[in-house]
Amino acid sequence: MNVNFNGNANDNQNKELIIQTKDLTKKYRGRAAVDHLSLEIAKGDIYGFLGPNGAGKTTTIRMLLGLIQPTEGSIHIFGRELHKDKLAILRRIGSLVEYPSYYGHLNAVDNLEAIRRILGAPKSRIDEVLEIVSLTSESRRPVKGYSLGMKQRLGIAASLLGSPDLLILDEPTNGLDPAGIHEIRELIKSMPAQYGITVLVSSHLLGEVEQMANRVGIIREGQMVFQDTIQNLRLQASHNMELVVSEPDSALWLARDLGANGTLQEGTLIFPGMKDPQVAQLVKRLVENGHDIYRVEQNKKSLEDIFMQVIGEGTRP
Amino acid sequence: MMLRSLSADFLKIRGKGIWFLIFLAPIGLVAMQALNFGLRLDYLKQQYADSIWGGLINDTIIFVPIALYLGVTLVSSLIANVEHQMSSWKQLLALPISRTAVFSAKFLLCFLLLSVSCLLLPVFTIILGLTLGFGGTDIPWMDILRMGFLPYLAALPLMALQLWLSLSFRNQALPVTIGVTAAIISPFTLQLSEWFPLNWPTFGYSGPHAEWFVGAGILCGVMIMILGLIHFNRKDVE
Repeated sequence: MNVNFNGNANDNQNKELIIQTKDLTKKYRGRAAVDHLSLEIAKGDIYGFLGPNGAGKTTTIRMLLGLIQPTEGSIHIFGRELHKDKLAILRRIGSLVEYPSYYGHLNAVDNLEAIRRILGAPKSRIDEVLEIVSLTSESRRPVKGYSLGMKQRLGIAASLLGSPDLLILDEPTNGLDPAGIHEIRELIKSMPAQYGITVLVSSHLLGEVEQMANRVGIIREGQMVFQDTIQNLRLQASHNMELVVSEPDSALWLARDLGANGTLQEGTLIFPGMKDPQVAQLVKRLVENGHDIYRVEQNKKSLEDIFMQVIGEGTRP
Repeated sequence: MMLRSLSADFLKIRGKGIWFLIFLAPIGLVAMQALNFGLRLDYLKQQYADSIWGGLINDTIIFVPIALYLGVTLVSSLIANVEHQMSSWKQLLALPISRTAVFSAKFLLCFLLLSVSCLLLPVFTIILGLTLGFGGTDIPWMDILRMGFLPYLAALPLMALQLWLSLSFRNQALPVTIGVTAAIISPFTLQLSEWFPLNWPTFGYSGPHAEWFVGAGILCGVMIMILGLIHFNRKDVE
């Protein structure tokens, strides 16, 4: 198989785009909460929408659902313009926005029934979605007595009620315990494969998204700072190359002659962002000059570090 | 589409005490008259010698506007609160249903619920009259029904306003304060012009040209409802 690192990104150009926004902007009293955002989500994607709290994720999602009006820009979903075909588009979307919405005095079945009556979905669908989120045995209890995880699952059940082609889930694992997070994550992961549903899932935790998403968009202060595959996010990171040699001081000079800017810390030579050919050249020269090389290692950054680097760009010294 | 929303709304208000309130209001009004007539039946029979049924209606109608104002305030607020409580607006309005349908359904729900109260009031009044031994043959059917519905139609502007405010503000303090204040001051505003809106329900029943006030009530109510609808369609859902 011919795989390159940009493979998925290129595929995306040919795939049908489910969500496409152009210059999407929402201003509150002159301050842009979402600033010229261009989202692209292709069919079958699990798209992780990442960003710190207050970055504009929820505002974007509310605009995608027609809950709030954009100040500027356009939204196309399923190839149609949202403000023209809103109801036809919403019919194919299931959503869960932030903390779950529910009617506490009603049980799970009645909660879903209230939504089903509006959707006009078949009655049997209620049992199906309860089964999917494993709430069948608890479905006759008032929802106010549910744990947060169960309420969140009920919210997902509600979003699946209309057999959607697109699921928009805003922080679906917020406030859940590890077991609950795992359960919801597995559920989301199964959506494209089992039901052919495209998923947009937002989170402020990269660790959570990287385990289910194939593509990520990272938003900071209302602006998209990264939008690509997870693999390409990893490549974004600048790695440090670390060398331990017999005579570090003279080795450092040698490296500088080659144009590699390194530093010496506790006997270890550190070269930030050194590319493979440079490494090969440096090692060769060191050997030629009689240095003993004990270790050549790459200090990999975790995805979390990369995330911090991406969202931190420009705000930190 | 509105009927779908309405049927969902009827489901949502289950167990919220709204139906209790709908029954309580006419029962309360009739209970007051049961006390009034029960305690001094002979005296009142003298007073209303020409028409004891008319006397019963006259004594009841005094309290109908206050009850209506409290009713529209509380029912609007309770209906709105079903959605406010757990921020269900974002879920409801992301469904494939127009905001016009959602808003109209809420309005119709409020209207229908209060109509039940307004229908029960004549029913309970007749039962009271019969129990007190007023003649069953000379029941003034039309007057009793008019007592139930004409003041209600003249009170539609406040209902439209209350529902609009209740649906717009998550915090129900403002709409409830306005509604309760209207109810409390309404007996005193009768001193003002008959065209003062809070007086419409009273003159919609007993004035020389009741139909003007009923007409004004319906017209104004519809106008305020349309303003509320336009606002509801445009507003951002947080």
